[in-house]
Amino acid sequence: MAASMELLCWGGDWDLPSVHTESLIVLAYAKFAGAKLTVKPVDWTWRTITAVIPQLNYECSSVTEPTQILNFLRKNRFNADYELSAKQGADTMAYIALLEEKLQPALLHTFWVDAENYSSLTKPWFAAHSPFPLGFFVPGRLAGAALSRILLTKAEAPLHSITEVEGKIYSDAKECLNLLSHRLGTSLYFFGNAPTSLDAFVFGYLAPLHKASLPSGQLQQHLKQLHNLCHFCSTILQNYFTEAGSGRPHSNQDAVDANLQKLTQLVNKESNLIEKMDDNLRSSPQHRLNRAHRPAPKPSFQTAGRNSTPA
Amino acid sequence: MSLAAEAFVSQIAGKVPFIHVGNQVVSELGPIVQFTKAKGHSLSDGLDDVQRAEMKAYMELVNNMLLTAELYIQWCDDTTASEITRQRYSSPYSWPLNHILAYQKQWEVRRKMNAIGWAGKGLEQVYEDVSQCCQALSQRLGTQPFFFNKQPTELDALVFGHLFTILTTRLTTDELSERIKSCSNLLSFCRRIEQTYFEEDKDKGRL
Repeated sequence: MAASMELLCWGGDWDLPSVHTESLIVLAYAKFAGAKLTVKPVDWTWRTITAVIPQLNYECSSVTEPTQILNFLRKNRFNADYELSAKQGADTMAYIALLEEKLQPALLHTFWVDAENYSSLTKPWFAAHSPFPLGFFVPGRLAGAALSRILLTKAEAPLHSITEVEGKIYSDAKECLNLLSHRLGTSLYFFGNAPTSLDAFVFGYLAPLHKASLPSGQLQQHLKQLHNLCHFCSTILQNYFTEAGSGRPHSNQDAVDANLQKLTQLVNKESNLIEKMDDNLRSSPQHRLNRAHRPAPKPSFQTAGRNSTPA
Repeated sequence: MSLAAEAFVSQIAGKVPFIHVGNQVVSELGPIVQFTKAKGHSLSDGLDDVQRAEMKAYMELVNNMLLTAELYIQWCDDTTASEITRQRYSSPYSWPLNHILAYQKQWEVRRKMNAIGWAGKGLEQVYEDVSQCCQALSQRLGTQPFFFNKQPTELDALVFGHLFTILTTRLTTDELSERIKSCSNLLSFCRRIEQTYFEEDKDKGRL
């Protein structure tokens, strides 16, 4: 794969690589499958209003929508679902449908429709991350799209208004979180010990809810009671998104090795200083009366020799 | 109930199917299931938590894929919409209500498709999605008589409803029913449920 793949997505905050659910799904899947993506945040560019995010650009073609992007990556041999059986693949499709139908409306409502959250968290963030005049339009446009999606899929628009479906949306979402928690149980990931596309989707949906500081978050409080799901998010963040740019647990080991090297150098320097002082003390009583200044050349001669060894 | 009266009540209740019990009207599958559960009849009591999670997930898959695909093919495909769907939808009403309601419904469905991102999909892509969904269901069913254990659950009812409708409704092409027929265990599943649960009703003149 000579040409590199470029991903346009929203930038990160709240300890997450991206605050946007769909961008997070693609980023997580790329890490799981080992695909090297050049991540280009669209923050502060005109792409915030012109591009469909997330967008994967490869050579001359571009792919949008998480499902299409994941299919594209799989076709190019970046397949995190390789080990799954056919039945597990079918279960993946079913659970993703569950997330989209039951959880997504409530997440959209929490971030974009709920007045308190929107005005104190979402709108300022997106306005601050868009270039100057667009900051007035981008959040409003995204909020409008979220509201119409909720109304068209969950309510018999225009008969019902948002307040009549709010209760149902949130109870469906809480039930969905409970079902996910039951399914995950005590395992590390949904299918065994290696993460798959389902883990990427669940992470993408849950991580913003887990990490954002929402003023009014009944769904967030419900999530915090499901400890295995919170642990699931933290594990993925720790293992795959620790340092910017690195995706493996080995990076921790490299950092430890580098620290160890620095520590060894410091210890060497300190022992050199101690030896110098020793020499000073040994040499000074002999020459105390006669040669007050002569000890100076001796230690420097010896330290010059000693300084060459750690170098 | 006559067709016109049913149409009237469905407009009030909002959705078909509905059941009429005493002076209560309950519509849509979810609330009807909860209503019967409250009366003491439930099909999914024997399932544990993980199985119930799977059942709900598969039900959402059917709703997400099959239902949306059915709506798309009926209302967003121009040939089907003009030749079959609009006429069928507007048949209980007299002029001009039949035209108005049919176009209103079509406009609503197209808006919904736009919102969920299906507007850009072509017909081939929709058929492909239906095939994938059927394969997933076929994998889950395997060689068992029902989706969970040996007893039918809400998922079996939902899948039967959608597949039976698709198999027996005449559209402009047979592409959709052909895709379902390619999964042989789903076909035999439908036949088996029809024979077991609906054969005796045929004598009473329903279905």
